Amino acid sequence: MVQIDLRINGSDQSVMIKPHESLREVLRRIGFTGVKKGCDVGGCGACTVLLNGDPIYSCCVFAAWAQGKDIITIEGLATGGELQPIQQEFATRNAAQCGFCTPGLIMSAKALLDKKEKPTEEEIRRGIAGNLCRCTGYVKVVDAIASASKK
Amino acid sequence: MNQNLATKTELERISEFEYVGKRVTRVDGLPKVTGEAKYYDDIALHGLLIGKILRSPFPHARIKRIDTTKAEQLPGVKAVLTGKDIPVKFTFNYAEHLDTKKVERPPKEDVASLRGLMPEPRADKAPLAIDKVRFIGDEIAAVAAVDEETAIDALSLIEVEFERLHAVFDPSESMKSGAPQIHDDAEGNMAAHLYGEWGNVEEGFKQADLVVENTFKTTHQAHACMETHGCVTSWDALGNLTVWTSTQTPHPFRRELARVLRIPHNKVKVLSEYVGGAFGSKTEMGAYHVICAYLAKKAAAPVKLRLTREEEFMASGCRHPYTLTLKTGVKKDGSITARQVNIIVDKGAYISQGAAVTFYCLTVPMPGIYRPGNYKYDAKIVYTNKQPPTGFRGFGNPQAAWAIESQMDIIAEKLGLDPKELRLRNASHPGDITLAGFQVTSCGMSECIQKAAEAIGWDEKRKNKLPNRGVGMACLFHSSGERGAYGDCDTATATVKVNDDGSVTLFLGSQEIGTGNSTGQAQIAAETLGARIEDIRVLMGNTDLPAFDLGAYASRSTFISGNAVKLAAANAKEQLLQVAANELGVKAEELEAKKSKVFVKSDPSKSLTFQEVGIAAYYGKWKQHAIVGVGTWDAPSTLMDHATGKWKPPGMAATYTFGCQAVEVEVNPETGAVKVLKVASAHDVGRALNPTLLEGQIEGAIQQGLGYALSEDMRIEEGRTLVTDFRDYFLRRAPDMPPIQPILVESIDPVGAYGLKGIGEPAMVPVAPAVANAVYNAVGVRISSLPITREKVLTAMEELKH
Repeated sequence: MVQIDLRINGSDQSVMIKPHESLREVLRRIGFTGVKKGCDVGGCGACTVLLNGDPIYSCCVFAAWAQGKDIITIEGLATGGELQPIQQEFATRNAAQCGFCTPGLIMSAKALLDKKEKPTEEEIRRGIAGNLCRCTGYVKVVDAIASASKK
Repeated sequence: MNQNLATKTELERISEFEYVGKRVTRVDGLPKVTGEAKYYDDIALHGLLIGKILRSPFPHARIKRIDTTKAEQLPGVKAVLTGKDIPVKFTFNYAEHLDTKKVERPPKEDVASLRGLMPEPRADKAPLAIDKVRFIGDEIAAVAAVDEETAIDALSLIEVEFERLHAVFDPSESMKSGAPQIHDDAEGNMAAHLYGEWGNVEEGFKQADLVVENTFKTTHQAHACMETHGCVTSWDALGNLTVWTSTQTPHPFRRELARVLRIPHNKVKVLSEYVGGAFGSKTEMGAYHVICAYLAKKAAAPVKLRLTREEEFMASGCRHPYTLTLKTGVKKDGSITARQVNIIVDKGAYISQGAAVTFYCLTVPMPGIYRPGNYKYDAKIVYTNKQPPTGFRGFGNPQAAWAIESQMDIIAEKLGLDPKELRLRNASHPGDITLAGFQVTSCGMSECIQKAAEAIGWDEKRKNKLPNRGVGMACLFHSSGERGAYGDCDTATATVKVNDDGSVTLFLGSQEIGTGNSTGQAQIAAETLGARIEDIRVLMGNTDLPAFDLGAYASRSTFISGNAVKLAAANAKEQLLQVAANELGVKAEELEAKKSKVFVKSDPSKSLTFQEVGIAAYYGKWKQHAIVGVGTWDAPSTLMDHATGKWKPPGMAATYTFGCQAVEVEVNPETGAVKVLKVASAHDVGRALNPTLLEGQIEGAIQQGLGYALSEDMRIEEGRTLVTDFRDYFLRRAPDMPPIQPILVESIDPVGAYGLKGIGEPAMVPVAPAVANAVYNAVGVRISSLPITREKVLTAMEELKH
């Protein structure tokens, strides 16, 4: 085990890790269980977090590699109890059915909206192409992102 | 128990509804968007061990010897199990203890109704293989260790000596004499054989002007839930077991597990508040549940066992592949005189729900949709050395629809009729009774056909066809509920408690698997009780709650449990109004409740808040002390009559659903690729309790249906699936999805709460044949085996040229 320093949702934490551990495993182990585990090889997108603002599959990144970078998980989106518009829209528009892919989808959507204020529907669909959902057919998901972009 | 709950006056009051028919926000939305929702894999317990399963690398082999010594000696390993440690065999809802020879069978009615003319189900699966392994992925041994790496290392130290046996992968080979015998007691590898005749098909074919026979094939489709199967198990000092898992059926699952473990049901607590996708794959107890409970017992510590995505694709179940030969006789006017179907089901290594799925296919859609005058069926459910499929959204109906709806277009062309017209002529109407004895009460089938056609621009596009573009349609017939899945009942119980501050707790037996069921139930409770929906907290997914339900399957949850909730809320309201009447000095009949307030109907200024009533009830002088309403409802449906193989009306369910999908496609003539341009999906939903949630069910089902139609195939070769993760299994991603137009047709069901019907499965059913029919319309090739790949389309187009 080695000690590394991670900046998660704005606060610095010292974490003991195994050198080969993925960022996802470390985040889940220390309590960020909103980072979901849908596959193990970067195919489903459920473990998506932001690394210096970019959406990444945290299962495909070594935790050690994330040292010194800014990590944002789903738990870090709401500030002071106030939900982000994207979270609010997902909740009110039935964009989360079983909810398992939802944190990952929201993180990808957040990254998209941070880079592009008013994306077209096609851009939204491309922006979440790395996230699988088996419940919604993506219709309400796209609605929610489009609606959040107007807020 | 046959309450007819939706009265006429109630229907007339639609405009006064506070919550019914409204786009109410999901009650479970916020925990899901903040990451707070805890799924089984998120459970952290002190000293939690990690369980892992050693699986068979061979499709068929005898286990000569297992040596676990080295694994047991590895530091960090806390328990190792093999087949001899778990002396039990099981199948869905049925277990056999090998040491005591005690057989735990379902109630007699189960066997009679579900299995029809078949032999009794056999408990064919051991949690850990006892003598043989029968598919690649079959469970052999298991370990629990301090972490995942140690557990994986321990698996590699288990020595197994196999004697390879000949394996068989094709059911038609498997049935032949001389084929390897997969189970000693299943001669000819026949897991089950269902057959029967209603009427006289030969006579029916004689009456026909046209007889058409075609063969259609379907393939292995993975449920591909985003959350893989698994559980956390923990025993306490009193011998109570807590199981955190992902299940559609908490109460039946508790029964199955308790019976295998030989402990009273009240000693097993099943917690399953959040389920990360299910679609039929989480209706059964799995071997992993039993293994995990035994590991935790042996290690005297809690254990988590999560299937990896690779294990999920290898061994967690999928849709049953069918080969269907469908022969149909029609008159010139399109009326169907006879239908005969022969099905061969590739059952894989264990029967699981194979008989039940096929039974549904044979008795519900096959003789139900378009109501043929005579009907004969024969289905051979055949063991092979492949992973065993299980129930999957539609339960045999998508396979039925693939054959029936593809053939409807073949018939229409031969008769010179528009496929829409042929379907309209054969559509069901209120008052119809299917050959099986199913009574059609509310029915919006014709309206669904018209509306779906209109939405896709049917008439214009069939008339003025563009090159390589085509439109196709397909219909569906499904049940809301299924009597006989667990006995002579289709039942739910719910409890509504008005607390001492007037807030409301709804205890649900029915399960939330993402569909929005708990939100729908909260709407029904709020509407009936007269409470504000924000004052209601829904508790579910816990078998210790004062509620019961058979689970989320057969599109039954909101339909069945909705009536239980309605009765429970009405019961609570009666108590609430009596206390308020006492307080206000009026008669209870003079009162009404709305928005968590009780008021005198003739003088609404005289009122009490629910909070005031709650305080008066719990702490006042009226001897009420608590406001707890309980509602139990059993569908007024019937079991199959064993003598005739049919039902007395209303049949298997108290109501049936109808729908029609129309799609437009464009086929690339260079590559054969099919692009779906639009899907219009019209459904008879009874009453649209919550349009947003209903649309969500339809849109999601179409994603699965389009995958089934075009790309999803587990590609099992020589018993091994070539799919190990999502890079090999092609689920539709957001950019792949066409625009979807859901159309809700309200037929206001006389039995469903506020007139609603079940809609969980139906939209999955007709997608694939609608696409196939559109492809035929576009380029003139009929693809009869799923999925409709570009290779198949291109090859067929080439053949067409020659």
